[in-house]
Amino acid sequence: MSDPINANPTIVDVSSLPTRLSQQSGQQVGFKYSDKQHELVDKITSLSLLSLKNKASNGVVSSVVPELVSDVDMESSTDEELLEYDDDDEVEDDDNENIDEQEIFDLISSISDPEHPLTLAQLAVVNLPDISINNASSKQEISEILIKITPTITHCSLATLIGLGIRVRLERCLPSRYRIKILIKEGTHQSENQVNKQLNDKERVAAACENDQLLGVISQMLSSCK
Amino acid sequence: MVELLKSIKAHTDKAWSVSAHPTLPLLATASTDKTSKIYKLSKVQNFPLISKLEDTHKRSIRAVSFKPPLGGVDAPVENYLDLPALASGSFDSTISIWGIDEPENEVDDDEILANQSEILTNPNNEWNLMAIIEGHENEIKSIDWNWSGNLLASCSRDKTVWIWETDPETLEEFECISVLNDHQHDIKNVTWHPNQNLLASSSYDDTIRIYKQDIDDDDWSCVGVLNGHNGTVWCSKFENKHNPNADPKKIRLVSVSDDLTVRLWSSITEVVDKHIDDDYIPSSIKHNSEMIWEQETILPEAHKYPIYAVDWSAKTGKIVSVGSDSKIVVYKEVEGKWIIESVKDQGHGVHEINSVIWATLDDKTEVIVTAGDDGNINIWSTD
Repeated sequence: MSDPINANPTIVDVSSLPTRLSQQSGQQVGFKYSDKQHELVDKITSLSLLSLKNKASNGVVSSVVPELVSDVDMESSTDEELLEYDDDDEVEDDDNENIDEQEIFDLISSISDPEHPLTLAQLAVVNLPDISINNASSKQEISEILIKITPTITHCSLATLIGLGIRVRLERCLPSRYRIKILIKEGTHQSENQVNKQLNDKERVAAACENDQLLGVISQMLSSCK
Repeated sequence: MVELLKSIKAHTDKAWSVSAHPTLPLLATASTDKTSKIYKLSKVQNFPLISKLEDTHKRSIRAVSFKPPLGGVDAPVENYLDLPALASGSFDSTISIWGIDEPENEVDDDEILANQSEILTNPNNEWNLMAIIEGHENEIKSIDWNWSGNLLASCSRDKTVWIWETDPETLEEFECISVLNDHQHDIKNVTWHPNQNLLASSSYDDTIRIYKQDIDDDDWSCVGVLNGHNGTVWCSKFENKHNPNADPKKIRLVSVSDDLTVRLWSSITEVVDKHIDDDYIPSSIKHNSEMIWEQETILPEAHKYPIYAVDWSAKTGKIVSVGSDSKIVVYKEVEGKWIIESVKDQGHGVHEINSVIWATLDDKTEVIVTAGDDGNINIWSTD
């Protein structure tokens, strides 16, 4: 993309974004590592030239870490990368607890914008107050998630792609009892209705996810996810 | 009441569509896992798998449709062994045609004919790929055979409906005889009238369009637009003339939509087309007989999320609808008024239901068959 659609977006500082991930660092749910495993992890992380603070915030290091580290390309290795494999499965496993807005925010806030080297939270495309959840009383019933996204500019042609990225991320991470609705925040896009209709058409989304080129772009966007 | 008879774990990914053979106890499925399966609709035999159709489509199979017998369901050609055939439409933009070979002639023809419902549903019959039909630019969303099996309609995200003509005995060639591009968007579903060559298409543009062949030439054209839904129309079905409540002077259609409504439309067939014999009317005006369609009623609301599929029983005149809320809703018409007969919650647990049909088992009982995002095919008794 030679000409960015919005060349000068407003950026939110990462430290001011709401998150639960950092607060949870030492005490994240899951199993505890023995000293031996810690040593091993220390060894691997030190070999990989990644800063040690990643390990600290990681808490749970999944079995894929060694492989991930050995494959890591230094150019793209970011703080998030080590964490990537954590919660994908965890949310699914952690089926006994209801998911809240903060968790949804944590899942989608670190998705990269398709044209800026920034996350959707940094660009304020996704905002915690614009996520609402209607949890059913039991896991055997359907629950609802509504997310309103705010494109950086009202004629952003990438709004559909961003919405699709959010949907793919959530469909991969959440149990199937959730019906996810993604809407453009009222008045923030000139083709609001068209974008909304496409983003919530299950068949269009399913077909889009079989398009290799599109899937490539989405994988790129999701590669920064925590 | 709708009660679960059997749940078949048919697919490893979304099951999109089911089709029942009009005269044989056969059921076909379509899935994102790129396979189709054929089951025997026999409760006594516990719904055995007859065949798995695979290695053909490169993307999801979105729709399946069995070809009706030669001569149609009402008057099948006598003393003719009509081999079952299936059409599958895929997101890879192609249609595949499948069929079986003539059974080995160990017994005489009369005996084969007398036992065809057993012989033609035998798992030993090999289902072969007979043809691949290409033409659409992108994803095919739906396909359907006309009543006599010589026409196949398909529709796609490319905004077109194609009508293919074939010899229903050999299924050797499929010639495109019409490309209809009246819709403004993605077309979700095509459905033929069960007793005549009248076609309906449902679209992302919120409308349904009706097509038929012109009287003076062979071209197909749009003869009606049904406006009313406030969201994508996912599916529609015509009423069979054998429905106990059917009015011979009326053609009726039921449609379901993203707007959470089930709507009933009707068109009076007795209107005489004044222009047909009038040579003074320019051909552009007289070339077809426009149909007047009216919204007859909106069925009682029952669904909470988008409604994806509907079917109208030829036997009882009841309507069934399914959708994203995993409910199976049955409606019946009592003295001209539609009421909800039953609502089955969690038909596929918390998963969305993509397809629903009425089907007849080998013991002649009528069942409902549903296909869900869980990859399951569920069969429901309706007594």
